[in-house]
Amino acid sequence: MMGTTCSTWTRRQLLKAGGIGGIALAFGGAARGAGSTGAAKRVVVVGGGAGGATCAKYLRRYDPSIRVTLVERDPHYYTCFGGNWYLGGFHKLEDLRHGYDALRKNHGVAVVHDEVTGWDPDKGQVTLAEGKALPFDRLVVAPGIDFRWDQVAGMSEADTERVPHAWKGGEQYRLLRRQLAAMDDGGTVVLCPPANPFRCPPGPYERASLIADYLKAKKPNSKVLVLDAKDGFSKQGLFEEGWRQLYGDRIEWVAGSQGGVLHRVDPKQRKVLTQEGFQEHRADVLNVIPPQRAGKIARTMGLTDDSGWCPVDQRTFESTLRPNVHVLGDAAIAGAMPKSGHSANNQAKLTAAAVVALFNDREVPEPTVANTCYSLVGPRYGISVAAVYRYRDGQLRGVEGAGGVSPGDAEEFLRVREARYTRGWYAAITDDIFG
Amino acid sequence: MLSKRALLVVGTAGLLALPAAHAESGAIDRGRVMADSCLTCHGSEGKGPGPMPSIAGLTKQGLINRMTAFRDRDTDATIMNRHAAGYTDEEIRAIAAHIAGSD
Repeated sequence: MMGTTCSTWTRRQLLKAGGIGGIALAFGGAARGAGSTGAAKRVVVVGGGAGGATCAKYLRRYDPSIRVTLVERDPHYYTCFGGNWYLGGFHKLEDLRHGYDALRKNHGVAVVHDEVTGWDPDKGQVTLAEGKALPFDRLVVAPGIDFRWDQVAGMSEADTERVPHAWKGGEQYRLLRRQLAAMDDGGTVVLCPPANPFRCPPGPYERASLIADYLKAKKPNSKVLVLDAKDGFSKQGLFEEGWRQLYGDRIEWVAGSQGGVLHRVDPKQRKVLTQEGFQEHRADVLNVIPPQRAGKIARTMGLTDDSGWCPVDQRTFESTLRPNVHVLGDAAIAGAMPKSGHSANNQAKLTAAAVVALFNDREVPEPTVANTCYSLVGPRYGISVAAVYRYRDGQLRGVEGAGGVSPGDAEEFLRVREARYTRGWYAAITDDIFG
Repeated sequence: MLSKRALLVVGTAGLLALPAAHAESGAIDRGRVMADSCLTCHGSEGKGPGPMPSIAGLTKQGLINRMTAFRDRDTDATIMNRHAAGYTDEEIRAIAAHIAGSD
């Protein structure tokens, strides 16, 4: 394991790193934690998505003496980001799929495909569904989201084959895509985005956009109706400008206070009731994106508060409810950072550096971090929102004067460029997470 | 390749507490983490997959100049002006040092 990691270095780097000790590490010599007296430090990372996989990788990059075990139930990860491009019909589902071989081979992460069912904080172990309990010195939990079915009257998880959420990658996206493909021309696709906070704020609107793009080409008499719980959404001005330019009146967005709030869902009939039950909308394809909370394992482990999300020290992402456990990504309460793959990736690096510092009784670095959300309003029409965050007065706060959205009323060439960067961003981030 | 005896000597030496390979004195400095945050868009080696520009080939001063130009809105940009504006001079220097310094 040590050999695998260090084989990517030059001898010069090894010698620089720790003289003889560096070479000892390279040849699989005693994997001693820096500054510690005992055995190598062990970190278990729960969840192999954008947050967990990045953290596992960067822990190894920052300190190859740390033994990292990543527990991820599924042998492959289908990103949610990019999923709308597949729904739009111009991207393959397989291109959204990523494996863990590089993490194993290039970075020496031990990847276990099993499910964490709980933990023993006193013993410092996580329990698995099938395998033996895994001991840890520090734990990182990146479980993503779970859905608040209790807040969607009329439907439950059992109905998601008929009414997909497609808000977790893979099979759900396949289901929704099939429904869109099977829909007759003249049909209505109804999208119901939830109230804040939720995973991927621009996601539902990129989805509406690309479904409209698909319908415009293949089923031109069809429409998209967005029944929103909210009165505003991410990059709204830009999306609406793009919708006008590309789709005419094919997309109708209804604000929460104007009748968008869901009163009840009838999954059998694909009907939704709004306006306290007084208005009915029939859908040919119905996509309800439920309100969300932290992934189930975080709840089981006692890492969530009343909001359903995980409070953490935003300098280290260590849980404020339990010591020795870090929670990052969508599940965490991260100040001004949105719930996105990019945020999770950045938080993961911050956390990895913090864990190394904590193992060595050093000051944590408190880096400035960032988020970027690229969205395709159309296959050749990209828009972005960016933000930079710094820790100040107990929270990660947006840096004044930085960040913001793409300019409105821009020339076509800018939208085309950003559409190219959108795809480039995908290739880069997945390389950074899984490569 | 070291002889077996040399490895034994070396292995023993490894038992001494030594700094972790990439951690200078047991900690990762913030410049390194910030530089790593650039890789999210510029790829795990900073070489920019596909349409993303590479940041790996520039000198430290070159990177400082570029980031400062973005921050001052002194150059063509789609998103980098919005990002660069979030960093102080010191942070830009630290980021540039790490990106230019990596192999």
